Amino acid sequence: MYRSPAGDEYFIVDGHLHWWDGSPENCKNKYGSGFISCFYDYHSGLSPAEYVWPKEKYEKYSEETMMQDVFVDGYVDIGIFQPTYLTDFYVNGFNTTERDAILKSKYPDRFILNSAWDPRNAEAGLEEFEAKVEKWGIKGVKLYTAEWHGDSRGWKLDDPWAEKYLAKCADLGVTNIHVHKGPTIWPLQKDSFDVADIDHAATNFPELNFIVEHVGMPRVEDFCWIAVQEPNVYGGLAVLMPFIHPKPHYFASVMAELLFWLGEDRLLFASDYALWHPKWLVEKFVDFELPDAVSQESGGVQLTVESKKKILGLNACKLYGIDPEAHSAKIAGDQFATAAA
Amino acid sequence: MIERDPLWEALGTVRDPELDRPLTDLGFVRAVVIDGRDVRVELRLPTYWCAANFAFLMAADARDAIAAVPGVGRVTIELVDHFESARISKGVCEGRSFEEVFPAEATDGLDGVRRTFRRKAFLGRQAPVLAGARERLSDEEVVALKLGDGSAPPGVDAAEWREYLVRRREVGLPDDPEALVFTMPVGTALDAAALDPYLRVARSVRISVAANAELCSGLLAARYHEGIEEWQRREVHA
Repeated sequence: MYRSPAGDEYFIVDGHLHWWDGSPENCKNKYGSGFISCFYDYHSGLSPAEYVWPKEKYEKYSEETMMQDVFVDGYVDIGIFQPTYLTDFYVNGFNTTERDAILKSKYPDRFILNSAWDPRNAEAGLEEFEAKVEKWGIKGVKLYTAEWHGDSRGWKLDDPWAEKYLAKCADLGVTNIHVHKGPTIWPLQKDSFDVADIDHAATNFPELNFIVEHVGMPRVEDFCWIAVQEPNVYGGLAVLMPFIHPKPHYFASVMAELLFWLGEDRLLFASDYALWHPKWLVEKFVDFELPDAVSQESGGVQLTVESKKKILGLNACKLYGIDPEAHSAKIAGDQFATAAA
Repeated sequence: MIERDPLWEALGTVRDPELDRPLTDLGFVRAVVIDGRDVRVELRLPTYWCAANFAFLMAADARDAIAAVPGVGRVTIELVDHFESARISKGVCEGRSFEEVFPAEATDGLDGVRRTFRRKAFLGRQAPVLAGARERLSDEEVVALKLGDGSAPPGVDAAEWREYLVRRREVGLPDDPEALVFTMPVGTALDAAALDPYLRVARSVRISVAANAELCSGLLAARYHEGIEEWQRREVHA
């Protein structure tokens, strides 16, 4: 819960959390070290100086660090784990459902545990996925279409096997399909930012919600066209959020675009922790006002207290069936709420 | 001995297709080394994972631009700190195509990518020019405007105009005096009654390209420890 200086209360759902291991011991090859170094540049480039960690801490952070940062200092009420396996780069994977499940089982009211699948694992992967859903009560998946897999450099949501996995999600009630469409790892030839496959999948599976992580950056405009046509497409704000510190004008412009094309009901706050610390993101976002000139250029869109409440938590609550009041009461006495008070 | 200035100027004509800015402005040229008539250019990018197809395009364009400078002998392009550094540098120096260098992964060439981004660059550059012209002229006048002698229409910033003319040529639009100033990237005339939504779309492209360019320059600064504090402080507008 974040209480603003003006006295407004915000229920915070962090839509994108990691508990990764990018340590040298876990790196399989130069791609693993290249990946965590790239993440570190995003972190050190966009964070306020006082929030920048030493590289070593960033490579592998403890449970205590994460719980303190996110739930005590960072105002987050509940956070969604979005796994990123990258088993071609890391011995034990980078940030797996299995690793995230350790924290989920210790603090069940603080996390939503998402899983992942890869259509290139075909039938065997389908069974494995079903078992994970049953074991952990999975309600969402994070898909990484650019992930390497042997000789393959990525896949698309409209591949035949991907459609089978999506159908399985619909059957099992795994309704939230988070798709990474944004920077970092890139398949070789395909335009990995191409969001056209989202369009296809969202039309074919109207019962599923497609949350496009990083709002398709750097193809925000392509993402917007699709989202305008597909009511079950949402925008995850990870990577855009930190612009609010070094480049507030760009943040305003892109937010205005998103508010214009998608509206305030289809945007989800996310820190992408440990890429960025939720504390400063939440504080700055609540404090943020859309400049009049930007608003006017975008058809008069507004970013009100109500819009911010939706983006910071209420929209995600709807997708994951969380009652914010009941949930607030449930966590009110836990060790993190107590420490934050 | 080859002079440095014409080489730098040549590299200034090479743009990142996605960010629509010259490599020299983006800080992507790490070094230009002259050895008699031979020239070696070292290129660097904001991340280890920058798309291989874009990286290849830029390296090949840099090679062609340098090779076209009078008097230049052998050209070497070295892409550094990238997950495909070795293959891209070698392939470009040998004058091979992307498909030849990456036969397993590349199913089609880079022409499609280049076309897509030329269209985007055109739209992004058209937005401020069109908005400027609309401040002085009626929408009917704007859509009927002809290139004439090629000078900027009333209300249009001269620098924006020059950039727009270059992007027009790159998407293959004619530049004779009778050609329309404002069309869609494929040359279709604009509808005066629909200029608002059209401009809305063009502005979205401009904002997206500009925000992306800003992110990339920040990542480059962070990666090479070159003035990230200054980058964070610099006020910019889309």
